[in-house]
Amino acid sequence: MKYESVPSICPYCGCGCGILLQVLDGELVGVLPQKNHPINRGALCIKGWNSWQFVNNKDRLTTPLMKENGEFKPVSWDEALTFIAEKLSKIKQGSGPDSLAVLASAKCTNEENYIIQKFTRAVLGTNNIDHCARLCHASTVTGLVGSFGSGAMTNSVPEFVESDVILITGSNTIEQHPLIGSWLLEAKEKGTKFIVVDPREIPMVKFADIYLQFKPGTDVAWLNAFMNIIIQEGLEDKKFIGERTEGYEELKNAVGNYTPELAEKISGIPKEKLIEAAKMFGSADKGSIIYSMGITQHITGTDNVQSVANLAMLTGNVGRRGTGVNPLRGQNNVQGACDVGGLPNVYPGYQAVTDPNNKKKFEDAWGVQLDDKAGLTVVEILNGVDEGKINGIFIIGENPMLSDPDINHVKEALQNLDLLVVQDIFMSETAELADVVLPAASYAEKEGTFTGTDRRVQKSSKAIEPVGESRADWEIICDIARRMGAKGFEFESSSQIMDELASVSPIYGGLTFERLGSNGGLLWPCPDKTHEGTEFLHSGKFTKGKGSFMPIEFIEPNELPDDEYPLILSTGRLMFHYHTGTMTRRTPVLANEVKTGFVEMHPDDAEKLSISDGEMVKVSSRRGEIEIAAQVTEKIRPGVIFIPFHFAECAANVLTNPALDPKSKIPELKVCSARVEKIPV
Amino acid sequence: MTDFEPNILAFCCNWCSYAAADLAGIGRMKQPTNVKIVRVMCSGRVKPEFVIKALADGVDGVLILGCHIGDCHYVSGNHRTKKRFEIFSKLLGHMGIDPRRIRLDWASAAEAIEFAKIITDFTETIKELGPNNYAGKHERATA
Amino acid sequence: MNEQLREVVKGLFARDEVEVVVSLKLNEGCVAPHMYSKEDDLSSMVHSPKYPIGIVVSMIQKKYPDTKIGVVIRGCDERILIELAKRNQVNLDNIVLVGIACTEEDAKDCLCETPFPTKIDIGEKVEGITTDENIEKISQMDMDERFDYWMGQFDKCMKCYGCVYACPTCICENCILEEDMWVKTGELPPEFPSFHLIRAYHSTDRCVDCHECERACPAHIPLVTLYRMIRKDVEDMFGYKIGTDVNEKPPLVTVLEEEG
Repeated sequence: MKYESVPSICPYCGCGCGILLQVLDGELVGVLPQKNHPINRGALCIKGWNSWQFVNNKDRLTTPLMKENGEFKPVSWDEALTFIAEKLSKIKQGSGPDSLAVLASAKCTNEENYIIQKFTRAVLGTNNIDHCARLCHASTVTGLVGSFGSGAMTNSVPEFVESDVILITGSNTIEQHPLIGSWLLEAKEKGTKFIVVDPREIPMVKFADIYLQFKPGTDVAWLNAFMNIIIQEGLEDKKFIGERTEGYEELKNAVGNYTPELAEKISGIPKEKLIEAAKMFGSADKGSIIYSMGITQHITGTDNVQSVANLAMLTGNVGRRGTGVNPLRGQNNVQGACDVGGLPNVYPGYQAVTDPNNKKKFEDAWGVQLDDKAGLTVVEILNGVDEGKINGIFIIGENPMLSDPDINHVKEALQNLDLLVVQDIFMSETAELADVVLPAASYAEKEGTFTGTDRRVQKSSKAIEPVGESRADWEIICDIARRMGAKGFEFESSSQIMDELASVSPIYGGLTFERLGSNGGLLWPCPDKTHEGTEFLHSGKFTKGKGSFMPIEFIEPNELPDDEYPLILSTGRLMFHYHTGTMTRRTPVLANEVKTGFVEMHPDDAEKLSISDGEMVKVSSRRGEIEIAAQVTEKIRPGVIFIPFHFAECAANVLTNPALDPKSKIPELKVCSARVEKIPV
Repeated sequence: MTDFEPNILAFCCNWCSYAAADLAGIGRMKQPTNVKIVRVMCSGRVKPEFVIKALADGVDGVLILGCHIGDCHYVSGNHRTKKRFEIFSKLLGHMGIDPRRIRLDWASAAEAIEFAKIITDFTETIKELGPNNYAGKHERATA
Repeated sequence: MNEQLREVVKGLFARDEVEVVVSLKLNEGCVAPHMYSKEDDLSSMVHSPKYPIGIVVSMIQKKYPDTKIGVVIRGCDERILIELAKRNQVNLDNIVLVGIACTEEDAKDCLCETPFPTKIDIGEKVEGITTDENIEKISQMDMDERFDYWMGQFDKCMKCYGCVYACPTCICENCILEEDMWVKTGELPPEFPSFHLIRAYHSTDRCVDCHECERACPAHIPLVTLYRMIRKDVEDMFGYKIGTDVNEKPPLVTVLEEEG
């Protein structure tokens, strides 16, 4: 007879809410919110409250599976891992290390991602490692590193209540980061003003002092005009610009051409409202900017992010409490997966693989020879299959068959591999295509740390034993590494892995499991064992020294509406579901709220096509077509349609455009051209 | 306001009030035509959720008509209706929904005249209150 | 107070009055409900912040109906257990209560009328708070102002069901609020006024004023204000005081003659 509440971190978004897993006699029976937690303060969203449900789902993978004549058959761990180890070695020898690639997971712990990238670099011998951050905030990392020297959210979540004005653009905060939404609602009650700039009338619009609806993909145009107005009005922070930044004159020249009239023409934002908003933001003492995928998922993603950074520097809103550039990260550990090196161009702690000093440092630490050229990114890896460059992919806890743009192409690529290994908790659409499927333990079944959106590294404890024969991801990878003859994978606990991670990654330098505790953890950078963590970045000085203004010109999206595909398709998520739905669609309460996908369209567009609310329609793009129910709503602009991407049966990513931002390689998931048609009866 | 014709829903119990409605009809009594009757086995069947649903869907007024206390075909069904109704009316008031939009009354199978009077009175009251714009007001505020 | 609490619990174990004790545990900075047995080190046992411990006790008792369970309670927890007992969710015969009186600060925080249990083992009894400014403010409003006030509040609702999940006396296995028939599914904010009107109505004869719903609300909606207004009506109209007498039946399930 044993009952306990095990402190853990919610496995959904990047808020980093503290949860208590209720365990009765070794069985997971519920969740309670942690009351004294610094982020969620005793509250949770509907996903958090139900985050225990999928753990015991009957669909959990419980044994390794290998495909034989097109059918999966259960095999022993020994058989599966021996096969994988041999096959990986063979491909490595046959076609070289760079013919292998690994997708790490923003759902795995920091320790696991550290092991995954170490395995990729030190054992497979390639830098071809990436993960879904490529699809959400790659442009944030690239953009903010360029502007500030650090690619993370500058300030911490509780600081939002101290802001005077918050500019929210391309972030559906209430639905996607509900417990950050909670802080924003509190800020609102305390008098903070909100400017919401979004193509869709998202729930936050109700609380906006100014709402600007604009045409997707025109971010740089309105942001430049916004800054131009601030400069014209003399609201720029001259002291800050002079002391802390460089390149101001170039910026001033670049934005000078963007008059409110031009911005109105390009983006559709009425110039009076844009001027009003710019004055409001420019006059604020503490102005904070929140953004998310609406800014990042464009071929101009890096440009958009750097425009946001320009605005923050122009108004002196960096390096103080209640200010900053605050990208909200989508996965509970997408920040961490980036931090610990789950990216093709950096070692743990954002240390470039191309820098010989870093290479030497990690060669010494790991006792192997490393590759000094950056690896391939998610979409490039899949393209590499077409080109015959990639022969084997190891995918951990990701589902590109639903999350990546142009799924038909993804499927083709994954079917053309010599080896596809998928390690997951459920048989995902991607796992169906694998040669070997390995059952992983869920978050409740292992110990480790997750890094929330505000750089908050928190420990999550093990609540129950792994379901079936499933094993923690780090244990599986270490086992394969050892089978391939590698040294340095003899860990006995996550805590030991963290110690090694801390020793090679200065931003995590002071972290140990003991110090992290179970109540809010520590915010990186935390360079040494006595350091208390960092609430907000760039205090007094930017990470890179002086902040760099980037003069940026507006570029149209890759695909524009034309006669054949006259509508702009944008994609996103819903409150009640999460990413590819593997967890939420197996959670009864969530599945009950929204059962399948829909396409939002404006009544004007619906009327032109004689489409009524709820009618099944065909949506097509240059890449494919889906059948989906229409939801006719005035919450979206005429000419724009929106589809949530959670649902495999009407997958938005069949339609999306894989065109990449040249700088960060993020695909343009937020804008492509599409057509809606009536389905003939 | 004078040309406002309210949409009223009446839940009538099978044993008394529905029979009263029937009798009023057979007797060709003059009564407003604004009322749509839903026949239930007992007024106790009317969960407050029914009333909430009606109000949320834009019905202007809801009547619940049962047997007189003591005459319930199921002995105490209407006792519960009465208590629920009283507390539910209070709750509506606290939330700013005029409790006069709902009314509980009794009519035996023989009380056709009384039935017609209840309907007439209630229709007048709702006409005075004007249209139910609760759901609409919300939609406008969030649109 | 924590020291005193541990002493009292130690005494219960020593005298074999209970087999286990449900209380709160401080673990690496995180406070959470926990079940202690006789052999356990009690030095981690704490009493604050409060949690909806009634939910935990009910869950444990359903699996172990015959085990003597000690439960560390505050005034609201006692009321919760009484309401749960009325609905066959706990068996008070197998529960030994360890009563904690809330501090003045706690009482003010909750605007609690009865911030202490019947029997106090730990702490000093402080007077209850009987005034609620928010209720007074709303009482002065006319119907339209009230409607606008609540509409403004409920517009913030994120449909997390936190008020339902955190409520220790919400015990239905299937919640009517999840049914598309009554509250349209998938909408944000949830259908107004349906969601909150139904929830408030369901709280009328069972809300013990523990504040768990409001604390769990990410939108900071003053749910307790509304529930408290209707609780007062229940008291005035039926003379029914929620959470005081386990033998007193909820007024909405009794017939008229039984009253008074």
